Amino acid sequence: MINLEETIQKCASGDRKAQTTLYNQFASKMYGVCLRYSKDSTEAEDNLQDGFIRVFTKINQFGFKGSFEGWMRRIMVNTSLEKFRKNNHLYAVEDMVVYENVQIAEETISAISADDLLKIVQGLPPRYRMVFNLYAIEGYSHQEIASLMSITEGTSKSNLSRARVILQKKVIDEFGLEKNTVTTTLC
Amino acid sequence: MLNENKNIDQLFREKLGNYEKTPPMVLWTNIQGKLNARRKERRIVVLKIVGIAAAIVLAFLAGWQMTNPSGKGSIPQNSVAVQKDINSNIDRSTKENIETTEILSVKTDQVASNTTGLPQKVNRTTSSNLSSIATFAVSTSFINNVDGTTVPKSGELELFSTEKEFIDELHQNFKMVKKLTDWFANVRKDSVTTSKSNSKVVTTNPFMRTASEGSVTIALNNPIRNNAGHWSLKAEFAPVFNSQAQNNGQRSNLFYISSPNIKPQETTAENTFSGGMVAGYKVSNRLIIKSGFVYNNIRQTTRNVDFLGVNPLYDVPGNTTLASTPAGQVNLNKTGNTQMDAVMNSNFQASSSAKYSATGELKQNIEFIEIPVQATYKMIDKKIKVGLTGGISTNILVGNKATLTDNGASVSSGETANMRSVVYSGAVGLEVGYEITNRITLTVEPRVKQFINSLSTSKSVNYKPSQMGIVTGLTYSFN
Repeated sequence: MINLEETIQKCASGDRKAQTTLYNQFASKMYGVCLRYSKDSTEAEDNLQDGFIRVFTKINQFGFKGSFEGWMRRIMVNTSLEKFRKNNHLYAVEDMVVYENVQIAEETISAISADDLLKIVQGLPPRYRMVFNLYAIEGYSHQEIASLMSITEGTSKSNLSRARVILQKKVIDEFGLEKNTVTTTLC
Repeated sequence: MLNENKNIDQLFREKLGNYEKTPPMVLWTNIQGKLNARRKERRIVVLKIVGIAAAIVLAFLAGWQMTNPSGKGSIPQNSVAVQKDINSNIDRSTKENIETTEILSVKTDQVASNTTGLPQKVNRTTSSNLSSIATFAVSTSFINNVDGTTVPKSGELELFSTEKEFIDELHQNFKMVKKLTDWFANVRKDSVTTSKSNSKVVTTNPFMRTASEGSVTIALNNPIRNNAGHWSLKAEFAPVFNSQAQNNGQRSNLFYISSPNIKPQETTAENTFSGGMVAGYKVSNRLIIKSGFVYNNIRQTTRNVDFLGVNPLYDVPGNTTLASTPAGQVNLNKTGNTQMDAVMNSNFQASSSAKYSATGELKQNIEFIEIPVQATYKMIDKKIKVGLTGGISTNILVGNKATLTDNGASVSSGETANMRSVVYSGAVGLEVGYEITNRITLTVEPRVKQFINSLSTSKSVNYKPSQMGIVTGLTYSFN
């Protein structure tokens, strides 16, 4: 069994077999990352493809100092962000209902599948999707997000807040929960 | 219980943080294809760099070779040029040359003391219609063959034993030669001017026989081999008429229907242009060696190409379309922006199918950077110049695009398959120039170029196009 370090070194020298091994090992995980940042599977596939090409062309720059998976994940995120920046369009966000003090039963949470949640995330307006992924799932700070996306921290916070509102509404709508309080906001 | 923002975040983080899904199999094939394409691009870049480096090295070597005589050992330092002087008066030069020779034939210690006076003597020689460089005209009486016979005026001039002794003396006294060299360096510029107007310069090894008529001029340290005026730079531009591509008369095998109403596939070459910079080195009065970088491209259009289109009303992925052309098979693998107008004009049923068939126009554009190595022989070199140019070129493929259009709208894009990265070509041309100033010459050159090897690596494709260009150029001479 060839270890990861050896595979990476072989990839750096252009070894096709090692590249296949590396792809097979990480493709599913990285596809999962790309799916979260994309509106659909086609966009995710494009990002995954571009991300892996970047991984293989820059793999000699990996210094074996941290997790290789983390390094790859960052490349996938950056590739997705670049694609977002290239196709940065302003999306109109409809007025929506906001549910406050909502409580969802544990049983309901466990019944919600990852695929269902992925669809909800993919349905977010692109910038909200980016900010929500970066903050809530990757664990970036607003300062880091602002720097990555060339926006202000305030915008990042605002986008996150609105993303949460949309997600919350969709989760409730999808899984038929009771509405305690209803307010309307313009996002 | 899940409550408010943090709980929403937590819900998604837990469920999607390590979300995995197997991507489609085709993705890895695509990645491999793109990686291969990048490798190919890198190879082309490397080839370009190697080509540039080779051209620079060649130019440098040529320059170095030309500026350094081919003599062996220490000869170059003290090489002697033999110059015939057409206009010299034999009788008068005989007397003066003997005087000059006497000066240079004195012993080492005497030479040292006489060095300061030498230029004056030489200047006197120069004023007597000989070359302005240290000209030591040797009369026919001085020049004797080995067998003691006098060299005929129109015959072959030689360096004889007396001269060899003279040269030996110079070799033995480096200081004297150095002083002479310095002085000659100062008068070098004048010497070239004089040489141009009055005499024909032939440089040689001091012990080499050189053809000449009339008197013999001996110059030290190869002063008459002056580089001034040898280099030139030419900017050229040409409309290019490409040879008509053979009409292969085929339909692609996609929708071939045997019907007289279906027009055969037809390929025509389009006119293009070329342009670049070429450096020239004047090897002799009549011969110039040139090299540089020239952009060149070949375009052709193939009409009546069958293709399978996609109705944009339906979300159906694009299909790979193949088309056969004289330059080889064209792979069109990317669905472009199909315009509705174009689609509606095609033969498809929008209501019944997401796909439609149509015939389109395929445009191929193949671009090269050419590194020529040419020689120009000047047949007439006056105010009006006429020269014959011939040479071979290395053509590096830098662009390969193919676009399928349907009624003017882009349907697919791709590239001609199996194009060779480096191809070679030969060219001949007749250059006619007009000397606008001493430095600038305007030239017009009808030139014919023929690719030597096929542009395609495919064994089934033998595509060696020819091109005809009217090359217009401006040459700047560094003199």
